Amino acid sequence: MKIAVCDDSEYDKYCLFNCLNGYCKDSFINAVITAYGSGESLLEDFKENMFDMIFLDIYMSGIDGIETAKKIRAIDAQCLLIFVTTSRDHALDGFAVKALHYLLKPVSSENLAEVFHRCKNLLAGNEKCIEVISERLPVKIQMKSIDFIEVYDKACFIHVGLNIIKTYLSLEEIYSQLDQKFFLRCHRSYVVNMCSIVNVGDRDFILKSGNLIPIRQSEKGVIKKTYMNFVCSLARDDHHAV
Amino acid sequence: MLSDAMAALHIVLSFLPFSFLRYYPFLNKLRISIKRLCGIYLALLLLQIVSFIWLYNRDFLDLQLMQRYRIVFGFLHITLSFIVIKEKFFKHFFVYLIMFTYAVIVSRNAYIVEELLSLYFAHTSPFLIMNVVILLQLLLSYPFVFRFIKIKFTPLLETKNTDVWNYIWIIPMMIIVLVAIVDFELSRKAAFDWKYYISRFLMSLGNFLSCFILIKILEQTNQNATLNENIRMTSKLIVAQTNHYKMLTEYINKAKAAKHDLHHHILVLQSYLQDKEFLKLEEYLNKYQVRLEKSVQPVICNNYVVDAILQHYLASTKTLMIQFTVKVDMLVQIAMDDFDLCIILGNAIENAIEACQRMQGMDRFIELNIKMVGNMLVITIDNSYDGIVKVTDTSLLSSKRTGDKEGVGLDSIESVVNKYHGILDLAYTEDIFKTSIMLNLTNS
Repeated sequence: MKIAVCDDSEYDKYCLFNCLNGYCKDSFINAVITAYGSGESLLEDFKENMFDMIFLDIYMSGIDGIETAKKIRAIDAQCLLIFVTTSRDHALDGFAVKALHYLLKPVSSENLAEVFHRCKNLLAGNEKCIEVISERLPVKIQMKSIDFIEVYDKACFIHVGLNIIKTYLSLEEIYSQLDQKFFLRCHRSYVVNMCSIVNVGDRDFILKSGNLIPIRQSEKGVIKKTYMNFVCSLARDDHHAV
Repeated sequence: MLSDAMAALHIVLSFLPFSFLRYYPFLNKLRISIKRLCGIYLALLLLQIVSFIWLYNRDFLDLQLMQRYRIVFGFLHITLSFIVIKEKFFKHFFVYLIMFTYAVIVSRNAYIVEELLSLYFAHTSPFLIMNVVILLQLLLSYPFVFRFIKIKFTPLLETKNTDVWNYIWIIPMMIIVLVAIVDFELSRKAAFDWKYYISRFLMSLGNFLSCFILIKILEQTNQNATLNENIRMTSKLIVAQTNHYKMLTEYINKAKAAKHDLHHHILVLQSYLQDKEFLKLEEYLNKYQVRLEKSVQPVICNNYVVDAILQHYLASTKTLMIQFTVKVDMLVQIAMDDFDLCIILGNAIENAIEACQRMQGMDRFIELNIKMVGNMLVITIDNSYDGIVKVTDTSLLSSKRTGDKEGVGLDSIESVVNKYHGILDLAYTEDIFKTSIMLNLTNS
């Protein structure tokens, strides 16, 4: 696991680093921890998929933690952000950048345990993959990255961000591999990742990418209800959120 | 054979279009499925046609029997509609009367024209002319009447808080009784009497006027209800905002005082430091830390309006001994009218508080979650309740409010949800009532 710590106070940085190091050793987590002294230095280095977790101090000279987080999010939507702060007042800004958690200083290993517990659920989802055969080669696709799958002319097209993977497996076969908690069979020839949906129209789901996924009209009520239950479970309990 | 077909068509024309309008406003309030209703209705119509043809093909036309036939089938139609439609009696009685008048006017006109023309077309089937005249009238009027029923009338049927239904039916009823009296004496001569035409015209006009007045009243009532709801919400908001404002002023004063104190604290710390009294120094610092934590009330949400409302209810639930947990995960700026958000939160939380107050026992709680998912705002409210759910004809009510206010809160939530093309879902277990709301916001 790749972890970054970013704090402008030498002392706090040292404390958090030590605490993290200790916790990871105790709980047999194989971690590489990198420490940064400012938001600028972190951003200079930062690339997509560089870290799994980033601990950010909110109050920093130069650009503050929130701003840094926004810039990190613009590059990498996946990595987990944890804010570290001295007071609760500002913690709420974190929601705008999808922060996982905020920690109050001084950080204890109990607090870290809670964070890692939540992370475990999320990171476990990262590793779930499906395997399909495309262009006669087996391809592994991270389940979370799939936006939707459509059937067109006997082939299935798996949409992963901007990439489209074509396979001759049937939609049923692919759907049975997928986690039904997140994937919804909303139409005879469509399966959609409910995490990618940003709006629900009368006849279709609208995705982040702008794609419209039709809803089978004869089962509109059931499908919308399923989706409604999914988003409400996200709101009621954040633990398995993405 | 042709005349039989014409007779059959005559029955169909003088019943089916009007029955359709009769049932149309209540299609979602039927006790049986629409398919079944169609089956029963068609069976009734078929029976009617068969007996009509049988009556007509007898050797001589028994007028008394004909009259009885009309009464029997009219009664069957009324009974069917009143059994099948699940709605307040006077509401659909009014619709029935209006449709009845419409049908009577159309068929009477046809009858008169037939009387007038039968001199010239003595050889044609008597129903041919009638059918043509009915068809012509329907072609001219039906689209307008249907549109009127669909767009103007049906939505207003949902109006609550009015007892106008209990009286408005009297007007068409009176007119129908009048028409019935006149029509009983209707003879061939009447067709040539101008007085008859005028009285008929005035009667039908009176009927439709009553309909028009009713709609005006209902529209006004609806408007009043929305206004009242707005006033209620606004006053709630003002209270919440005032409290919030007070809190902020308090913070500012506290901050000023703290700044002033800080100077003093530093002096004390410095003196401890100089005297190297580290134990006392630590003690002092710890005391200061506790004080600082006590004085700060956490902000729930950076959206000012939501925070004001939540703080308000947080304070009131505390006094009511209800455990109110709030988890808000939403953007500061959302593409939604603050007022709409207040209507939803205010009403939903108030319903939850009411439900908690009705129950005995100490484990009263409300759990509120607000979360942005994509461009959708998801709000869930779970609360404890006494296990009694009241299901009314049209909607599920979370509360058992008494009197006219029944369900107003849920209604206004529903109207906001509809405005944002969202979904409102109510579910319950033995001891938890779950309200789930999803709103589609446009990209912000």
